[in-house]
Amino acid sequence: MIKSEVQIPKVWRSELGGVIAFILICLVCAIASNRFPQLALKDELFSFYGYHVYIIVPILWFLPLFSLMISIYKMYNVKYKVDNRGIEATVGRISVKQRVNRVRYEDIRAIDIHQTIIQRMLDVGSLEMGTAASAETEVILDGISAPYELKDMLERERDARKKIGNKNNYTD
Amino acid sequence: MSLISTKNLLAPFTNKVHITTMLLIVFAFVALRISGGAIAIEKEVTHEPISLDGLPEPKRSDKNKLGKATMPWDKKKNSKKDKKTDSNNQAQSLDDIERLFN
Repeated sequence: MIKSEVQIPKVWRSELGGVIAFILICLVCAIASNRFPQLALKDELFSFYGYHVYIIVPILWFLPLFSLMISIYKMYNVKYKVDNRGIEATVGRISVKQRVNRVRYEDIRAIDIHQTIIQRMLDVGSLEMGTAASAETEVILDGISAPYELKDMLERERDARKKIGNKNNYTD
Repeated sequence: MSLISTKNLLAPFTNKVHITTMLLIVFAFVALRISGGAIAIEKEVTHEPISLDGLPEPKRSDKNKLGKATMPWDKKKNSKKDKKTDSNNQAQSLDDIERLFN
């Protein structure tokens, strides 16, 4: 079966800072919770046949959980898709507001890549695409793997479409 | 294809992003357990009121010469004294000497 569209996933490497922060906070939480056991909350969930079921939750554990949730939110909030007509970026999949930007290959004017030094080492980056319709960048693919390869592919596709379009214009 | 199928169940394990997410969630759970998080099951304990009627009657051996129950600390002292007399095995009176020879 030929796939009509390909998803470009946002990679965890782009959220490396968040992941490192999460692991460090986990370690701090484990040490602090063992040192101060009074920070653990204990409450009854339910009871049956003379048995009581309690839940014990260390308060400090919510710190690493919160940092992990932020990273997971950033990862799964976006979806990038490439099909035979163009490229589509959906931002806000797990948010209240959702924005879907779509650009056809023919309309792509400039493709920029933004990378930090660590992102260059990890081969991740952000791809920004602009069209003739607006001066601002229309589609931003943030935290994708191998941005240069994707840029080459998009430019090849754009050029090919433009050539076909020009031929059609001449024949008409 | 049905919604609940082997292919759909295995789909998250074929994606690197999802595997990493699962590993991070597992790591968070490990951190919770190390920090002391748990689910505890405890049996209900009923506390009955303590009354003097419920206490056992003192035995005859526990009573001293005056007929009172001996306290644990007195009991220890008495037993020590008894041991001493037994170990020496010395006659205390003329009657005792007479009993030994007869």
